Amino acid sequence: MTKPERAALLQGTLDMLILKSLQNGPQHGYQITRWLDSTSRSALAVEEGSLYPALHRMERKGWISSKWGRSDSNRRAKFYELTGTGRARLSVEVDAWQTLCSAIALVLQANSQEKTA
Amino acid sequence: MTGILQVVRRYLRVPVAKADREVGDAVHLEIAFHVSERARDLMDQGMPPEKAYEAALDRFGDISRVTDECRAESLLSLIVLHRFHLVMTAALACAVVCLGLLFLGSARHSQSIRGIPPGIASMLDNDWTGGVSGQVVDDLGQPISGANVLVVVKTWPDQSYFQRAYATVTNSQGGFNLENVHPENERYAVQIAVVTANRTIQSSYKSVAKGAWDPVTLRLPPSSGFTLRVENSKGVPIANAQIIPQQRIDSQGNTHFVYFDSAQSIIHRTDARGTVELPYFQAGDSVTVLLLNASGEWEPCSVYAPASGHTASIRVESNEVNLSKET
Repeated sequence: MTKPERAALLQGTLDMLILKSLQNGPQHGYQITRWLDSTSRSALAVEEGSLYPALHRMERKGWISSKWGRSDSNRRAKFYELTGTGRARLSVEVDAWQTLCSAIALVLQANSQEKTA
Repeated sequence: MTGILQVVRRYLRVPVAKADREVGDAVHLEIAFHVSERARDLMDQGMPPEKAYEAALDRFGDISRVTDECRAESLLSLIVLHRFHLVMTAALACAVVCLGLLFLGSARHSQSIRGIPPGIASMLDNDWTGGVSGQVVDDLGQPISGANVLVVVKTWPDQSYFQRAYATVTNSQGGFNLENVHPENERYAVQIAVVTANRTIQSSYKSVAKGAWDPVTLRLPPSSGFTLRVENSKGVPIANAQIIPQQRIDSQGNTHFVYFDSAQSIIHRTDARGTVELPYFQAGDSVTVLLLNASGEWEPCSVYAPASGHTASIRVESNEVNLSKET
């Protein structure tokens, strides 16, 4: 049995996925990685290290905030939380993504109709 | 001085070194936590510890690159905050300097008008740009030059009363002009008296509710003049007695008045015979002069102006006249 190939992330989608992962409450970086992995059923190929520059960038933009706390294993960990601005940004990104997906789907459908016609 | 410059330079410099170390430590801690959590998960799946850590590091990617990128992001926000802090500090310093200069200016101004009642001080602080002007002519309308124009300006700043006196002489056109002597945005009154040889004293009093001054024309008919003699109770003439022609009431009952405040330039003195020429009156005028008494007070004395060439006398106690030395 061959393992399904992992899909590379499209440019700009990492921010949206991170914002989405924080929608249900504060998470540290490793929790976000695990959530993305499990939710996508390991289909998304996210280089774990690339998560952190994105988190710091979004914190600078004010989309998320962070504070140090204790993890489940009682170790010091940095927890990230969605801000009001981040929540609004997530909504915008999701809308844009759905518009893009619909447009791509239309294009793909058009191509198959032409072939069959 | 050098020490201050060093402190300022250090303050202006972005605290990159310290921040970089702190940010770097925090990023390292964060990454170490991530790798160890991943390794622990792998060990839970049965992987040996060494292999688990290797695999965790492999999945994480280039730690140095990630650390550098995180550090750059964090420092960027720090630099922006530092710049903002500097701008706010500079703005605050400017505001403090401006307020200081304003306060200093206000204090200097207050100092310059110290001693003046508050109402008058506030009045002086406002618009004080109004002038008083006019022309002096003879009975034929010809200008009289060199005439003494004695002006008193009254104002009522902030429910108080303020009076200032000015003296000038007419120019070759008979004109006179005093600038910046009253406020135009407040009520004011102006008393003008003209005293010149061989012309009767004329005066004008004008009250203005508000606004600019309208020039006046004072017409001076010729005078007959007379000689005034000052003597003591024994009839002995008093020399060097000081006299100010203050008022004349003409035959029609019109009063012409010289305010004492403005009359310093027309003080006359009796000669060795105790006489003084007063060529400002018409025969029949009721004349009032001020005579400086021994106690330093100006005392009014009244006579009727005799016909030209005649003498009128004022008799006083010999020791009651102030015989100051002639200058």
